[in-house]
Amino acid sequence: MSGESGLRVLVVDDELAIRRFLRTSLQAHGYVVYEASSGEEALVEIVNKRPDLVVLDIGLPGIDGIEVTQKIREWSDLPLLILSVRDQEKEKIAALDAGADDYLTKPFGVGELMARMRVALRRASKPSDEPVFTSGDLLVDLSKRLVKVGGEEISLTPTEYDLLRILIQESGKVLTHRQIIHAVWGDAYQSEAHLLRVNISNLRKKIEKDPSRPTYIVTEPGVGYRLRVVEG
Amino acid sequence: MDGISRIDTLKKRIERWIHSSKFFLPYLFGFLIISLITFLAYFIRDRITPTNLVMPYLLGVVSIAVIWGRGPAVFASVLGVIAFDIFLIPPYLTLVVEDTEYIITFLAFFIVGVVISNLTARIKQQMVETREREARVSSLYHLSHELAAAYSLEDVTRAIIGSVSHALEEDVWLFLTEQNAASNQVPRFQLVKTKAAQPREVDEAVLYAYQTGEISGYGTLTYNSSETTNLPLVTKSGVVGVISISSKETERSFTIEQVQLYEAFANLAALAIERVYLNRQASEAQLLKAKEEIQTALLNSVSHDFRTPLVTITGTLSSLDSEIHLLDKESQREMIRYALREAEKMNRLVSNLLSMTRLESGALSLQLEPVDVQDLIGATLQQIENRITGKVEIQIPDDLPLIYADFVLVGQALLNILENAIKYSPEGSSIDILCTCSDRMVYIEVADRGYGIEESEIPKIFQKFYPVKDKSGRSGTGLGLTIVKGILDCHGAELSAALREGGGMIFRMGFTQYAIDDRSCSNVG
Repeated sequence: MSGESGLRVLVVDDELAIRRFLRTSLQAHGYVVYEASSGEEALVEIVNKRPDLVVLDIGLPGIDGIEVTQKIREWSDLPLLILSVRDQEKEKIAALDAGADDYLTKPFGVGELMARMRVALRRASKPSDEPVFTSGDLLVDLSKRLVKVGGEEISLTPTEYDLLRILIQESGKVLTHRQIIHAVWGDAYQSEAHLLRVNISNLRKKIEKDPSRPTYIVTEPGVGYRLRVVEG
Repeated sequence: MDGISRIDTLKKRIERWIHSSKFFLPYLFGFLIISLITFLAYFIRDRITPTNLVMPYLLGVVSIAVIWGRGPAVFASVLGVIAFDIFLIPPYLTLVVEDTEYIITFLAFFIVGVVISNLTARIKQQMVETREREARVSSLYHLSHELAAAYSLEDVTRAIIGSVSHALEEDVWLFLTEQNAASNQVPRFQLVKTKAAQPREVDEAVLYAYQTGEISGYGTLTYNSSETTNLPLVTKSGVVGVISISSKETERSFTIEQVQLYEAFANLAALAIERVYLNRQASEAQLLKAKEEIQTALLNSVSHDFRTPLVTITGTLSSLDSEIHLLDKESQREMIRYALREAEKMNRLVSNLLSMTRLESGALSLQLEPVDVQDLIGATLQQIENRITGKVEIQIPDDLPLIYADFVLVGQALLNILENAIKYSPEGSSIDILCTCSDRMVYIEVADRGYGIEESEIPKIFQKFYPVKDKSGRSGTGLGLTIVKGILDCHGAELSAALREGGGMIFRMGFTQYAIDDRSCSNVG
C-alpha cells in the first residue's frame, strides 16, 4: 500500500494538534513530514525543504491559505491540498481557482486524505497522455472520441464530450464551476451557469447507471464536480 | 371700499348698543310689567280690597325674578310698592296713607318681593352651576372612557389633548419626559403633542411645574403672568410630564371648580401615561424572560447532546488505551467504529448549531445559482449513504426544470429532512423521494414509513427545540427541522409536513422554477 516512501510532505496549520495527527498518519504511510505553522513559514520551508506536496490550511493567521496558494503558484506547480472548514465555500473556490489541486473539509478521515494526496501526486508525476481512460464500466478513448458504458457505445453531443474530456483530464481532482465553464465554453459564459447544470445532468443520464446516485461524476456541493476513478 | 367700511362701523355701533342695552332691557321690562299690573288693578280697585291687589304684584315680581334675575326683580319690588301706594291705596296719588295698617302691607310686600327675587335668582344660579358641573363631569367621563380604550402612548396622548381641549375650549400642550433614554442620560423633557396652531417650547413656568410637581402659571401663585396654566402629571414614580392649558378664552375667573377640573384632568392623564409605561416595562420583562428561557434550553440541550457522544468516545478510547490486551481484534474495531460514529454525530450537531446561529443572526448570505434537483438529491444522499438502512426510491421527471437556490443550504435542508426520516423510522424502512412541478413551481417530497407524529403536533415540529422522542428513546436537539424552515424561509420557498397514508410522514418543499428555464415537466406517475 505504500510506494509513497520517501515522498516529502509539508503540513501547514496553525493548530498543533492537527499537525501532530497529520504527522503521525503520514509517517505511518512512509511519508517524510515537515511542519509549518504560518503562511510565511510555509513559503520559507518550501524553498528549504523542497516538498513533493503541501497540505495547507486555508484559515491561517497572517497571510491566509489563498494568498499562500497564489504565491506558490507564481513559480511552482507543486501539488497543493487545501484544508478548509464547512461553510467556507467562497474561500475553497478561491483557493482552487488560484491553483490548489484539491480540498478536504475538516473534520476528515485519513482515508480521504490519502486518496486525495495520491491523486494530486499522480497528476504531478505523470502527465495524462494516456489515450484511454477507464473507470468502472466507463471507457473513453480520447484519441477516437469513443465513449462506452458497459461495453455499449453511447453518443454524446460535442459539448457533453468536451465536458467529459475536461473531467477526465483532471480525473480524481475537483474542478470548480468556473474552471469547467472556462475550459468548455470560455469565460464569456461564466454567467450561464445553467448550461453547465443541464449538460452535467444530460451526461449523467447517459453514462450513469442511476443518475440520481451517480458514481462517476460526483458533485462537490457549492464548489464544482469531480470525476471519480472507480476500480474494476 | 369706503361704503363697506361705513357699513362695518355702523354694524359695530348697533352691536355695541344692543350689548349695552341688554343690561337695561330687563329693568325696562320690569317697569312695564309693574305699570301694566298697576293699570289693570286701577280699574278694579273699588271692588277688590287693596290687600288682595298685592297678589298680582307679587306674581309679577316672581315672574321678573325668574326671567331676568335678582336686580330687575328687586327694582320691580320697590317700584311695585310705590305704585301700589300711589295708585291703589287711598288717598290716591299720594305716598301718604290713611290707614297705618297698610304700612305692614307695604313692608310685607317689599320683603317678600326681595326674598323671592333672591331665592329665585339663587335657584337660577344653582341650575347654571349644576349644568356646568355636569358638563365638567361629562368631560372627565369622556376622557376617562377614551383613555380606558387607549393602549399606546400615541393613543393616550391623543385622547388627552383631544378631550381636554374640547372640554375647556382652550389650546392644550402636553410635555413628557422621553422614556427610552439610556440610564446614563438625563431624559429629555419636551413637547409631545398639541392641537394648537403653534407648538411651544418648555418655558420657565412649565419647567417649574415639572420640577416641583406643583401647579403654575395663570391663576396660580407662581408665574401667574404666564399665558398658560401648567399642571404637573404626578405618578408614583414622580412627575412624568406637564399639561399646559392656555388661558385665552378664559374670561371667567379661575374658580375653585375650574382648578379642581384641571387637576382631575391632570390626574387622569397621569394615570393613563403611567399605565402605558408600566405596560411597556412588563412586556420588555416578558421578552427578556423568554429570551433567557430559550438560552437556558439551548445550553441544556447542547450540554446534553455533546456529553452523550463524548461518553462513548471517551469510554471506547480509554478502553483501547488501557485495556487493549483484553479486547480481541474484532472488539477493538467495534470500539473504534462506535467512537467514529459518535464523533460524526457531534460534528453534525456542531453544524446544526452553527446554521441555527447564522439563521438567527441574519448572517446567512445566499449564494444563489441554478440548481439541478437530481444533482442536489444525489449529492445529499451521498453524504448520508452510510446511515441509510433501507431502500431509497427516487422519482424525477426527465425534464424537471432547474430551481434557483443556494445549493449548499438547500442541500442541508434536504439532508436534515432525510436524517429526520431515518431517525424516526424503523431500521430498514424505505424512503421515497418524489419530484414534481406545476405552475412554475418545483416540488420535492420526502416520504418515510416511520412512526409519524400526532396530527395536532405537526405545526409545532418546525419550532425551535421541539423535542420528538422516538420509540427507541433517541432524541435530537430539535433544531434540524427548525433549520430547514429557516433555510426555506430565506429562499421564499414553501414547506409543509403531513401524515402519510399507510403510516409515516411526508415533507414537501416547493421552489420557484429558475426563470430562464422555460420547461414545464411531464410529471411522473
